[in-house]
Amino acid sequence: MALDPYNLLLIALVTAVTLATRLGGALIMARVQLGLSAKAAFEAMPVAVMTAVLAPAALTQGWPEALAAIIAVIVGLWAPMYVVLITGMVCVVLFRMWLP
Amino acid sequence: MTSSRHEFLDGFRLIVPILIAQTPFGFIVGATSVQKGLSVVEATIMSATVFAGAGQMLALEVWDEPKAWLLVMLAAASVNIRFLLQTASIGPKIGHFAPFKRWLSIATMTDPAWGMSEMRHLTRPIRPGFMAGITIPIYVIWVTATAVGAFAGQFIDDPARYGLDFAFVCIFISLVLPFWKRSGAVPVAASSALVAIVCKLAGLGGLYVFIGALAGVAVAGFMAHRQARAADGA
Repeated sequence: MALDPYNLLLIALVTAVTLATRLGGALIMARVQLGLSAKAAFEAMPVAVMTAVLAPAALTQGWPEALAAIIAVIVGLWAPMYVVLITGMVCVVLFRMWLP
Repeated sequence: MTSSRHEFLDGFRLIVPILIAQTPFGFIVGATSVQKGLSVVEATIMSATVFAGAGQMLALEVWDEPKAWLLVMLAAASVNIRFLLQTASIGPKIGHFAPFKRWLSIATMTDPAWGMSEMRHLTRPIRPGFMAGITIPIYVIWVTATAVGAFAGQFIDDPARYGLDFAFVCIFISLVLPFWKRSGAVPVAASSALVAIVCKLAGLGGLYVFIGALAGVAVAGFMAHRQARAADGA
Protein backbone atom coordinates (compact mmCIF):
# COMPACT_ATOMS: atom_id res chain seq x y z
CA MET A 1 0.00 0.00 0.00
CA ALA A 2 1.11 3.57 0.64
CA LEU A 3 4.05 4.89 -1.37
CA ASP A 4 6.82 3.00 -3.12
CA PRO A 5 9.89 5.03 -4.22
CA TYR A 6 10.24 3.12 -7.50
CA ASN A 7 6.62 3.71 -8.49
CA LEU A 8 6.93 7.37 -7.53
CA LEU A 9 10.06 7.68 -9.68
CA LEU A 10 8.26 6.23 -12.72
CA ILE A 11 5.25 8.51 -12.09
CA ALA A 12 7.60 11.52 -11.90
CA LEU A 13 9.25 10.51 -15.20
CA VAL A 14 5.91 10.10 -17.00
CA THR A 15 4.77 13.45 -15.56
CA ALA A 16 7.97 15.18 -16.70
CA VAL A 17 7.75 13.78 -20.22
CA THR A 18 4.07 14.71 -20.53
CA LEU A 19 4.65 18.22 -19.21
CA ALA A 20 7.56 18.64 -21.63
CA THR A 21 5.30 17.81 -24.59
CA ARG A 22 2.69 20.32 -23.42
CA LEU A 23 5.09 23.18 -22.64
CA GLY A 24 7.41 22.35 -25.54
CA GLY A 25 4.72 23.08 -28.08
CA ALA A 26 4.09 26.61 -26.88
CA LEU A 27 7.76 27.32 -26.08
CA ILE A 28 9.55 25.79 -29.06
CA MET A 29 7.27 24.41 -31.76
CA ALA A 30 5.32 27.68 -32.09
CA ARG A 31 8.61 29.27 -33.24
CA VAL A 32 9.75 26.52 -35.60
CA GLN A 33 8.62 26.38 -39.20
CA LEU A 34 8.18 22.70 -40.09
CA GLY A 35 8.33 21.40 -43.66
CA LEU A 36 5.23 19.74 -45.05
CA SER A 37 6.55 16.18 -44.73
CA ALA A 38 7.85 16.77 -41.20
CA LYS A 39 4.52 18.25 -40.14
CA ALA A 40 2.59 15.34 -41.64
CA ALA A 41 4.93 12.88 -39.91
CA PHE A 42 4.41 14.64 -36.56
CA GLU A 43 0.67 14.71 -36.97
CA ALA A 44 0.60 11.02 -37.86
CA MET A 45 2.53 10.01 -34.74
CA PRO A 46 -0.39 9.46 -32.34
CA VAL A 47 -2.39 7.40 -34.83
CA ALA A 48 0.70 5.42 -35.84
CA VAL A 49 1.64 4.67 -32.23
CA MET A 50 -1.88 3.79 -31.10
CA THR A 51 -2.38 1.50 -34.10
CA ALA A 52 0.98 -0.18 -33.55
CA VAL A 53 -0.01 -0.83 -29.92
CA LEU A 54 -3.51 -1.93 -30.75
CA ALA A 55 -3.20 -4.18 -33.81
CA PRO A 56 -0.85 -6.83 -32.33
CA ALA A 57 -2.70 -6.80 -28.97
CA ALA A 58 -6.01 -7.31 -30.77
CA LEU A 59 -5.01 -9.75 -33.50
CA THR A 60 -2.18 -11.99 -32.26
CA GLN A 61 -3.60 -13.31 -28.98
CA GLY A 62 -6.15 -15.74 -30.41
CA TRP A 63 -9.58 -16.01 -31.97
CA PRO A 64 -11.65 -14.73 -29.01
CA GLU A 65 -9.62 -11.51 -28.73
CA ALA A 66 -9.47 -10.94 -32.49
CA LEU A 67 -13.21 -11.40 -32.98
CA ALA A 68 -14.08 -9.27 -29.95
CA ALA A 69 -11.77 -6.53 -31.23
CA ILE A 70 -13.39 -6.54 -34.68
CA ILE A 71 -16.83 -6.26 -33.09
CA ALA A 72 -15.57 -3.45 -30.83
CA VAL A 73 -14.28 -1.54 -33.88
CA ILE A 74 -17.63 -1.87 -35.66
CA VAL A 75 -19.51 -0.75 -32.54
CA GLY A 76 -17.00 2.08 -32.00
CA LEU A 77 -17.80 3.59 -35.39
CA TRP A 78 -20.96 5.04 -33.89
CA ALA A 79 -20.96 4.31 -30.14
CA PRO A 80 -19.10 6.11 -27.33
CA MET A 81 -16.27 4.59 -25.33
CA TYR A 82 -18.27 3.03 -22.52
CA VAL A 83 -20.39 1.08 -25.01
CA VAL A 84 -17.23 -0.12 -26.78
CA LEU A 85 -15.76 -1.14 -23.41
CA ILE A 86 -18.80 -3.09 -22.29
CA THR A 87 -19.35 -4.76 -25.68
CA GLY A 88 -15.69 -5.70 -26.06
CA MET A 89 -15.35 -7.08 -22.55
CA VAL A 90 -18.59 -9.08 -22.68
CA CYS A 91 -17.67 -10.48 -26.12
CA VAL A 92 -14.19 -11.53 -25.04
CA VAL A 93 -15.47 -13.29 -21.92
CA LEU A 94 -18.13 -15.17 -23.94
CA PHE A 95 -15.79 -16.03 -26.83
CA ARG A 96 -13.16 -17.33 -24.41
CA MET A 97 -15.72 -19.79 -23.11
CA TRP A 98 -16.74 -21.04 -26.55
CA LEU A 99 -13.75 -20.61 -28.85
CA PRO A 100 -10.28 -22.22 -28.72
CA MET B 1 -17.29 38.48 -13.05
CA THR B 2 -20.53 37.49 -14.70
CA SER B 3 -18.91 37.29 -18.13
CA SER B 4 -16.20 34.92 -16.90
CA ARG B 5 -18.92 32.81 -15.29
CA HIS B 6 -20.68 32.72 -18.64
CA GLU B 7 -17.44 31.66 -20.29
CA PHE B 8 -16.97 28.91 -17.72
CA LEU B 9 -20.51 27.60 -18.28
CA ASP B 10 -20.03 27.73 -22.06
CA GLY B 11 -16.99 25.48 -21.74
CA PHE B 12 -18.66 23.23 -19.20
CA ARG B 13 -21.75 22.66 -21.38
CA LEU B 14 -19.58 21.63 -24.30
CA ILE B 15 -17.71 18.92 -22.43
CA VAL B 16 -20.53 17.25 -20.45
CA PRO B 17 -20.75 14.39 -22.99
CA ILE B 18 -16.97 13.97 -22.83
CA LEU B 19 -17.10 13.82 -19.02
CA ILE B 20 -19.54 10.94 -19.22
CA ALA B 21 -17.34 9.17 -21.76
CA GLN B 22 -14.20 9.71 -19.71
CA THR B 23 -15.48 8.29 -16.44
CA PRO B 24 -15.19 4.58 -17.40
CA PHE B 25 -11.79 5.31 -18.94
CA GLY B 26 -10.67 6.67 -15.55
CA PHE B 27 -12.02 3.56 -13.79
CA ILE B 28 -10.04 1.31 -16.13
CA VAL B 29 -6.82 3.33 -15.74
CA GLY B 30 -7.25 3.11 -11.94
CA ALA B 31 -7.94 -0.63 -12.00
CA THR B 32 -5.03 -1.23 -14.40
CA SER B 33 -2.74 0.79 -12.13
CA VAL B 34 -3.32 -1.47 -9.15
CA GLN B 35 -2.98 -4.59 -11.35
CA LYS B 36 0.46 -3.23 -12.31
CA GLY B 37 1.50 -2.87 -8.68
CA LEU B 38 0.62 0.74 -7.86
CA SER B 39 -1.20 1.52 -4.63
CA VAL B 40 -4.51 3.40 -4.69
CA VAL B 41 -2.72 6.55 -3.52
CA GLU B 42 -0.04 6.20 -6.20
CA ALA B 43 -2.62 5.61 -8.93
CA THR B 44 -4.44 8.77 -7.85
CA ILE B 45 -1.21 10.79 -7.73
CA MET B 46 -0.37 9.57 -11.23
CA SER B 47 -3.67 10.76 -12.68
CA ALA B 48 -3.37 14.06 -10.83
CA THR B 49 0.15 14.81 -12.08
CA VAL B 50 0.20 13.22 -15.56
CA PHE B 51 -3.43 13.96 -16.50
CA ALA B 52 -3.22 12.25 -19.90
CA GLY B 53 -5.20 9.01 -20.27
CA ALA B 54 -3.66 7.43 -23.35
CA GLY B 55 -0.14 8.21 -22.13
CA GLN B 56 -0.87 6.75 -18.69
CA MET B 57 -2.42 3.61 -20.15
CA LEU B 58 0.52 3.03 -22.46
CA ALA B 59 3.07 3.71 -19.69
CA LEU B 60 1.27 1.25 -17.39
CA GLU B 61 1.46 -1.39 -20.11
CA VAL B 62 5.29 -1.45 -19.82
CA TRP B 63 5.39 -0.68 -16.07
CA ASP B 64 6.65 -4.13 -15.03
CA GLU B 65 9.12 -4.71 -17.88
CA PRO B 66 12.87 -4.61 -17.24
CA LYS B 67 14.32 -1.10 -17.77
CA ALA B 68 10.82 0.26 -17.17
CA TRP B 69 12.13 3.76 -16.42
CA LEU B 70 13.17 4.13 -20.05
CA LEU B 71 10.15 2.35 -21.52
CA VAL B 72 7.57 4.38 -19.58
CA MET B 73 9.17 7.59 -20.83
CA LEU B 74 9.14 6.38 -24.43
CA ALA B 75 5.55 5.18 -24.06
CA ALA B 76 4.35 8.49 -22.62
CA ALA B 77 6.32 10.56 -25.14
CA SER B 78 5.09 8.58 -28.12
CA VAL B 79 1.38 9.27 -27.66
CA ASN B 80 1.69 12.61 -25.87
CA ILE B 81 3.75 14.08 -28.68
CA ARG B 82 0.45 15.31 -30.09
CA PHE B 83 0.43 17.93 -27.30
CA LEU B 84 3.46 19.55 -28.96
CA LEU B 85 1.35 20.39 -31.98
CA GLN B 86 -1.71 21.31 -29.94
CA THR B 87 0.00 23.80 -27.64
CA ALA B 88 2.08 25.15 -30.53
CA SER B 89 -1.18 26.04 -32.23
CA ILE B 90 -3.08 27.28 -29.15
CA GLY B 91 -0.18 29.10 -27.47
CA PRO B 92 -0.28 32.20 -29.70
CA LYS B 93 -4.09 32.25 -29.63
CA ILE B 94 -4.12 32.69 -25.84
CA GLY B 95 -1.27 35.20 -25.74
CA HIS B 96 -3.66 37.74 -24.19
CA PHE B 97 -4.14 35.59 -21.01
CA ALA B 98 -2.32 36.66 -17.82
CA PRO B 99 0.96 34.63 -17.79
CA PHE B 100 -0.09 32.34 -14.93
CA LYS B 101 -3.41 31.46 -16.56
CA ARG B 102 -1.75 31.04 -19.93
CA TRP B 103 0.90 28.59 -18.71
CA LEU B 104 -1.57 26.73 -16.53
CA SER B 105 -3.86 26.28 -19.55
CA ILE B 106 -0.90 25.00 -21.57
CA ALA B 107 0.41 22.69 -18.83
CA THR B 108 -3.02 21.07 -18.47
CA MET B 109 -3.80 20.75 -22.20
CA THR B 110 -6.06 17.86 -23.17
CA ASP B 111 -7.58 16.75 -26.48
CA PRO B 112 -11.03 18.20 -25.62
CA ALA B 113 -9.62 21.48 -24.28
CA TRP B 114 -7.57 21.85 -27.45
CA GLY B 115 -10.37 20.89 -29.85
CA MET B 116 -13.00 23.09 -28.20
CA SER B 117 -10.64 26.07 -27.94
CA GLU B 118 -9.64 25.83 -31.60
CA MET B 119 -13.35 25.81 -32.45
CA ARG B 120 -14.05 28.76 -30.16
CA HIS B 121 -11.23 30.72 -31.74
CA LEU B 122 -12.97 30.55 -35.12
CA THR B 123 -15.81 32.75 -33.87
CA ARG B 124 -14.47 34.74 -30.88
CA PRO B 125 -11.37 35.16 -28.69
CA ILE B 126 -10.65 32.35 -26.22
CA ARG B 127 -11.01 33.43 -22.58
CA PRO B 128 -9.37 31.83 -19.52
CA GLY B 129 -12.83 31.11 -18.05
CA PHE B 130 -13.79 29.10 -21.12
CA MET B 131 -10.72 26.86 -20.87
CA ALA B 132 -11.19 26.52 -17.10
CA GLY B 133 -14.80 25.43 -17.70
CA ILE B 134 -13.44 22.59 -19.80
CA THR B 135 -10.29 21.59 -17.92
CA ILE B 136 -11.42 21.81 -14.27
CA PRO B 137 -14.39 19.39 -14.61
CA ILE B 138 -12.29 16.98 -16.70
CA TYR B 139 -9.54 17.08 -14.08
CA VAL B 140 -11.91 16.49 -11.15
CA ILE B 141 -13.69 13.62 -12.91
CA TRP B 142 -10.46 12.08 -14.15
CA VAL B 143 -8.73 12.00 -10.77
CA THR B 144 -11.88 10.85 -8.94
CA ALA B 145 -12.63 8.09 -11.46
CA THR B 146 -9.04 6.83 -11.25
CA ALA B 147 -9.20 6.70 -7.45
CA VAL B 148 -12.51 4.83 -7.51
CA GLY B 149 -11.27 2.42 -10.20
CA ALA B 150 -8.04 1.78 -8.28
CA PHE B 151 -9.95 1.16 -5.06
CA ALA B 152 -12.33 -1.28 -6.74
CA GLY B 153 -9.47 -2.88 -8.68
CA GLN B 154 -7.87 -4.09 -5.45
CA PHE B 155 -10.64 -6.62 -5.00
CA ILE B 156 -10.33 -8.17 -8.47
CA ASP B 157 -8.14 -11.28 -8.29
CA ASP B 158 -8.47 -12.55 -11.83
CA PRO B 159 -8.88 -9.64 -14.28
CA ALA B 160 -9.16 -11.96 -17.31
CA ARG B 161 -12.32 -13.53 -15.90
CA TYR B 162 -14.17 -10.24 -16.33
CA GLY B 163 -12.47 -9.37 -19.61
CA LEU B 164 -10.63 -6.59 -17.77
CA ASP B 165 -7.36 -7.46 -19.51
CA PHE B 166 -9.18 -6.71 -22.77
CA ALA B 167 -10.28 -3.23 -21.62
CA PHE B 168 -6.91 -1.97 -22.82
CA VAL B 169 -7.73 -3.00 -26.41
CA CYS B 170 -11.25 -1.53 -26.21
CA ILE B 171 -9.96 1.80 -24.93
CA PHE B 172 -7.38 2.12 -27.67
CA ILE B 173 -10.02 1.22 -30.26
CA SER B 174 -12.15 4.12 -28.99
CA LEU B 175 -9.21 6.50 -28.86
CA VAL B 176 -7.88 5.67 -32.32
CA LEU B 177 -11.14 5.45 -34.29
CA PRO B 178 -11.61 9.23 -34.70
CA PHE B 179 -8.05 9.38 -36.08
CA TRP B 180 -8.73 6.53 -38.52
CA LYS B 181 -11.63 8.51 -39.97
CA ARG B 182 -9.39 11.43 -40.95
CA SER B 183 -8.26 11.77 -44.55
CA GLY B 184 -5.02 9.98 -45.35
CA ALA B 185 -5.07 7.98 -42.12
CA VAL B 186 -5.85 4.59 -43.62
CA PRO B 187 -2.46 3.97 -45.31
CA VAL B 188 -0.69 5.22 -42.16
CA ALA B 189 -2.71 2.98 -39.83
CA ALA B 190 -2.52 -0.01 -42.16
CA SER B 191 1.27 0.15 -42.44
CA SER B 192 1.65 0.65 -38.67
CA ALA B 193 -0.61 -2.31 -37.98
CA LEU B 194 1.04 -4.62 -40.50
CA VAL B 195 4.63 -3.85 -39.50
CA ALA B 196 3.79 -4.02 -35.77
CA ILE B 197 2.11 -7.41 -36.16
CA VAL B 198 4.99 -8.83 -38.23
CA CYS B 199 7.54 -7.57 -35.68
CA LYS B 200 5.54 -8.96 -32.78
CA LEU B 201 5.24 -12.38 -34.45
CA ALA B 202 8.98 -12.24 -35.24
CA GLY B 203 9.55 -12.00 -31.49
CA LEU B 204 11.00 -8.49 -31.31
CA GLY B 205 9.56 -7.88 -27.82
CA GLY B 206 8.43 -4.36 -26.90
CA LEU B 207 10.21 -2.93 -29.95
CA TYR B 208 7.29 -3.80 -32.22
CA VAL B 209 5.39 -0.67 -31.16
CA PHE B 210 8.21 1.65 -32.13
CA ILE B 211 9.04 -0.06 -35.43
CA GLY B 212 5.34 -0.21 -36.35
CA ALA B 213 4.80 3.43 -35.44
CA LEU B 214 7.90 4.43 -37.40
CA ALA B 215 6.50 2.71 -40.49
CA GLY B 216 3.25 4.67 -40.18
CA VAL B 217 5.04 7.97 -39.62
CA ALA B 218 7.32 7.32 -42.61
CA VAL B 219 4.30 6.63 -44.83
CA ALA B 220 2.64 9.88 -43.65
CA GLY B 221 5.78 11.90 -44.39
CA PHE B 222 6.20 10.24 -47.77
CA MET B 223 2.55 10.87 -48.73
CA ALA B 224 2.82 14.55 -47.83
CA HIS B 225 6.07 14.80 -49.79
CA ARG B 226 4.47 13.30 -52.89
CA GLN B 227 1.44 15.56 -52.54
CA ALA B 228 3.66 18.64 -52.28
CA ARG B 229 5.64 17.52 -55.36
CA ALA B 230 2.43 16.93 -57.32
CA ALA B 231 1.14 20.38 -56.33
CA ASP B 232 4.42 22.00 -57.44
CA GLY B 233 4.37 20.13 -60.73
CA ALA B 234 0.81 21.14 -61.58
